[in-house]
Amino acid sequence: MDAIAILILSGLTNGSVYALVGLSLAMTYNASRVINFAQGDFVMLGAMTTVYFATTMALPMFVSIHLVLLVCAAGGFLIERFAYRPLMARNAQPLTVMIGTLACATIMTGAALLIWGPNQLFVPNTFSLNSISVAGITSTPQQISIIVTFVMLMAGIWFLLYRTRFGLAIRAVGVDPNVSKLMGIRAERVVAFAFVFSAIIGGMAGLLVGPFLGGHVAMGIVLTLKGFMAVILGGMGSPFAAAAGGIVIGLLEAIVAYYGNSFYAEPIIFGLILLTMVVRPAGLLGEWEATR
Amino acid sequence: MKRTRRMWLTALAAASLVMGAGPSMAADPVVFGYIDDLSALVAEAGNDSLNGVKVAVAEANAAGGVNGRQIKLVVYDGKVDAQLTSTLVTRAIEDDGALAIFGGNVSGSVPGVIAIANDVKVPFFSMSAAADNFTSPSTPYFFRFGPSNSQDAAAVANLVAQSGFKRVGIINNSLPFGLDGASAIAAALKTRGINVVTSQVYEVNATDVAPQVLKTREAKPDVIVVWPYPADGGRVLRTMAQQNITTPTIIARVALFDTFRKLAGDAANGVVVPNTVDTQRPDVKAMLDKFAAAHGQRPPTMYIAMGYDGAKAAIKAMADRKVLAALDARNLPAARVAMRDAMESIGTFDSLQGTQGNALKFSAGNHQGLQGDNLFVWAEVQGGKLGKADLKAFAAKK
Repeated sequence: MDAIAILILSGLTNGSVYALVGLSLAMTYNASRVINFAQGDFVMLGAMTTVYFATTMALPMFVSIHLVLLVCAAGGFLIERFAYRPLMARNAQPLTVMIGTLACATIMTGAALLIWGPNQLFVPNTFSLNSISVAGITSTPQQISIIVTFVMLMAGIWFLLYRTRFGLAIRAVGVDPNVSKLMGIRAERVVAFAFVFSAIIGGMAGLLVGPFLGGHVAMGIVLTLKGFMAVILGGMGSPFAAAAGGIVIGLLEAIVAYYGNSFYAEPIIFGLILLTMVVRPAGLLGEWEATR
Repeated sequence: MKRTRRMWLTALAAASLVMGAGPSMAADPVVFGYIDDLSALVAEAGNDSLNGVKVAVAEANAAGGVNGRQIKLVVYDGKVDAQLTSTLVTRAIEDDGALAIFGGNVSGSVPGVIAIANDVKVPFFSMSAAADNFTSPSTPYFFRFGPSNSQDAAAVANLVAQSGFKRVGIINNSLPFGLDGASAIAAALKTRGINVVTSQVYEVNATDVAPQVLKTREAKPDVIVVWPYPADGGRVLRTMAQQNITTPTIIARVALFDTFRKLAGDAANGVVVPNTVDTQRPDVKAMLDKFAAAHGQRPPTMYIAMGYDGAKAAIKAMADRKVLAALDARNLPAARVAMRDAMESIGTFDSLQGTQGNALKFSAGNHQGLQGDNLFVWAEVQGGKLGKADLKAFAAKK
């Protein structure tokens, strides 16, 4: 029982990280039909700016968090304004726009290298890293905060998308930007919001996961890949499907590591993704979400 | 008027002769290429080794160079990217005209560079990439200055045996360093009749390694050996503390890095680490002081010593008569071959690694420089700092 609880907690922790990146990728994709390859770099930016504000500038963590999220929001805004929008204005193909976001990711990594240097840095923890026991399971407040943040964000996004007029506009733009424009929706603003909001989610993930992974300029690409796996497995059509994909991957990793060997986790997960694409091309929850 | 003009022309001709003779009188600088990870996961090792090389090169240049030839260092960042590293090595050899190549802190990138070095016939001075098969069997142009995995493993196995531990748990990451290291340790323990009760692998970027640590705990080892990279090593130790594991722990050399100790926090207290740098040695102290003055204070890692040892050996080999003759004849390919030959014919080079008096030994059949049982000193982490390990207290924890 103890073992199963530890496995579930471990799977949820890893899965929440993948899910946060996955749902932020899906948010941008749903609004713009573009995979933002710089998404993982916002996790990096979140971790590294935490180092800058909380350690280098020695600001209180509460202030640092706000500044970190502000920097990430500004980054998301810049990508939308200076990469996505100019390319779309020139009728670029989605693939070209994606390469544009990849260029942004490379620029972000390069700039981070100039600012923070090549070494892995210790990212100050927002919550305590000391062990606590809850219902017999030992964890840390920092670890629990990853899962709690993920759940709260999911609830918040659901409320935004399904209980507000702006959410309806986001979904309308996702279905057909041209028709939504005819309905009076400012599609450009919706897309800009998606980029900025996704960047904030990425920054939040970096802030929370940084104390475990260590802040490093190259950490973004790996997380983008994991987030992308989550999106493909869960379904491109919705942030919730992508998040579910992330959780499934996290739990699978934990189960395979415990009952088998984590060496085989990635081949098994990629095998599962391939199988899912054959059986359900829209992803595990893609069609269900599309129907909704 | 005509006479004045003739005098001017004569003076001009003399001046141009002197000017023209200038470059050929001062010997051309020799290029050493340094290609390694300088910005990704192994950047601390790459930068430490690079700066160790720089100290040795600066010493040689300050002393007037090698037979009047200054050494120029060209540096490229290969990241943890084998293909990029190979491309940059080729660039250093072909475009920059490097006499020798340095680097090799990333095991995954080394095989490609070995292939290029042997194909183009350029000596490759490799640092900490520890896979045994890089030097066993040896290949003509590859020379290693750090310990191999089997040497690390032998040191770990000896410590485990001397401490009286009988049941060993191993946790390592899924990168070549972790996999090869763990398998070498398991083999070394087997020859000493010690049982590996569990061997767990985790993915290097996993936020949570609880399943692997849990399995290790369930196997009830009396000592745990962790073979990670710096950041994931921190996660493993934190998770061990979280699961109330107080078993004595030995960790790979990555624990010498600041990153590891900061990420692990108090969970790293008491873990012991094999290091090849004995800071009690006066020559080591002197070099580290010089290093700190030039590149800032760093922990006394073996990566600094490897870089320094490698560059000193290369400079000594470069002073060989045949190498200098080939350089004078502007025959770079012949100089590279002669330098390789000099590494084997000189054979013994001073080393800052191991105990006082330890030397690097190369021969036709052996390109693994560090030899013998006097390579390692054990360090212990306490309060985020490295100190000398108390091995009796470590053994008493069982």
